[in-house]
Amino acid sequence: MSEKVIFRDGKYEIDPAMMTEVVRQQRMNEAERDRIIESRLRYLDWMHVHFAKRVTPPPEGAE
Amino acid sequence: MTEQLSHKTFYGEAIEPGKPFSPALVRDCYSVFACRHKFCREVCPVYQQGRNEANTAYGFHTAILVISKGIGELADMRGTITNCLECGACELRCPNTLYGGDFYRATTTNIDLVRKVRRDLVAAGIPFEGYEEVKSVVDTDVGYFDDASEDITRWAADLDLPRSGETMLFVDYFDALQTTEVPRLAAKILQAAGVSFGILDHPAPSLGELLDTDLEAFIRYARHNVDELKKAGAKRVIVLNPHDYSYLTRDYPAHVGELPFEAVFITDELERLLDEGKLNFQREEKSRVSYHDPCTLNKICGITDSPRKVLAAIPGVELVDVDPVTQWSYCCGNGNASYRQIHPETSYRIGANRLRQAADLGVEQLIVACPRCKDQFTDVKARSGSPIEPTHILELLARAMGLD
Repeated sequence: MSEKVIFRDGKYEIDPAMMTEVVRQQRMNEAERDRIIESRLRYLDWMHVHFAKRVTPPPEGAE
Repeated sequence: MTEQLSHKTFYGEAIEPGKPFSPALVRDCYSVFACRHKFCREVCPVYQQGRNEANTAYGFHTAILVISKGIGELADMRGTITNCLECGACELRCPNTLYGGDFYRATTTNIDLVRKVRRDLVAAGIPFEGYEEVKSVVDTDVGYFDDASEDITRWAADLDLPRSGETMLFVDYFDALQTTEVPRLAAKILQAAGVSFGILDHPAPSLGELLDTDLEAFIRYARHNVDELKKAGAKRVIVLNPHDYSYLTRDYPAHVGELPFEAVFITDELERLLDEGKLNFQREEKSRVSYHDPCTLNKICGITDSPRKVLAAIPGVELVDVDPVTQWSYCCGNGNASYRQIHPETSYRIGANRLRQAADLGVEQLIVACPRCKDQFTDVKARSGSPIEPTHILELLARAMGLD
C-alpha cells in the first residue's frame, strides 16, 4: 500500500498530511463517509442497470 | 449519539464587500470551477427548468471565484444565489463528493455555500432578492415562540401525551400549526404500536430559513430544543419532518455539538415496529402508488429503504417504484428552506413536472414522507388539475391500521 494512503475502519483514505496546502480536509464523521460510499455504490449499480447491455468477461487465460 | 457530520470551518469567515476573500474559500470554489464535468447541472431541478448554468453549483462556485478576483461584486449575487432549492443533488452527484469525497475527506458542499452567501448578503445590508418574504415566515414562527401563551401543542389536545420521556416526538411548527394531521396520525400509530413517548410543550422554531438569514438565531433555537429535549429525559427523539431530521443530524451537531440523544426518523421507527410485528393492519388499502423521495431524506440523509419497506408491507398497496438515484434529480419544488417563497412560479413548475412523472407511471397516489412535500403537491395539484393524489405515508398507514 502506498505510504500516502491510510487504512481506517476498513476504508482507504489519503494520508491527511497530503491535504494541508492546496485543498484542506473538512471535518467529517464516519456517518458522512459511509453515506458517500453507499451513494457511490448505489449510483454505480444504477449506471449498470440503466446503461450496461452486457458484462464483458476478461479474455481467456487472463488471471 | 450524533456527531458532527461535515463542515468546512472557513465558511464561518464572512464575505464582506471591499475585503479580501478567505484563501481557503477561494481554493474551495476553484476545485468546483476546475471540474468542468458539470454533472451538477443534470441533476439540478432548477437547471432543468431554465437551463441557466449560473443557477447551478458550478455557477455559484464560479461566481464567488470571479468576485474574489475583483471582477464583479457580492451584490451581483443577490438574485443568482436565490436559485437553489438546497436539495443536495449537485453536491452528492459531483465527482468531488461521489467518487473521492470519502477518500480525500473533501467534498462539494453547495448547500452550505448557498446558505453562507445568503447570510453574508443579509449581514452586508444588501439582502438577497425575496428576503422580505422569507423574513416574514421567520418572524411569524419567532412570534409564536416569543409568545409563551401560544399553545403549539393544540394538535395533541385530546391525545393525553406526557411532556417528558425517554422517547420524545419532535413536532416542528409546520406540523404543529399547519399539517396537523401528520403529528396526530404519528401519535396514534405509535400509541397503537405500544410506544411510550412525550412531546415538548414549547419547542423553538427549527426553520431552514434561519440558516439562510440568521445563523445566530438558528443556533440559539437549536440550543433551546436540545436543552429542552435533554431536560425532558430524551434518549431517543423521533422526528416527523425530514427537514428537521437533516437539521438535527447535520446542522445542530455542526453548531451546538454532539447531540445528547439519538435522532430517529419516523419511517425508520416504523420499520423497526414492523420488524417487531407491532404494526397491526386491519384492512386493505387497494391502491396503485409510487413513492416520492424527499430531498432531505434521500440526497442529504441517505434514508431511502424504510419508507419503501413500510409501504410494501401495507396490504393491498401496489408500489410502482422509481429508484432513489433516479430521484436525485427530482424535487417537489418546495426546496429545503426559502425557495418556494422566493420563486413560487418555478417552484410550481418543478412540482407539476414531478406529478406528471408520477402520472406517467399510471399510479393513483404519490406517497410522500415529508409534510412540506405534501403541502407543495397539494397546492400544485389544485392549480394544475393533476389526477395524482398526494398522500402522506402516515395517512395510508393509519387507514390500513384502522386509525383514521
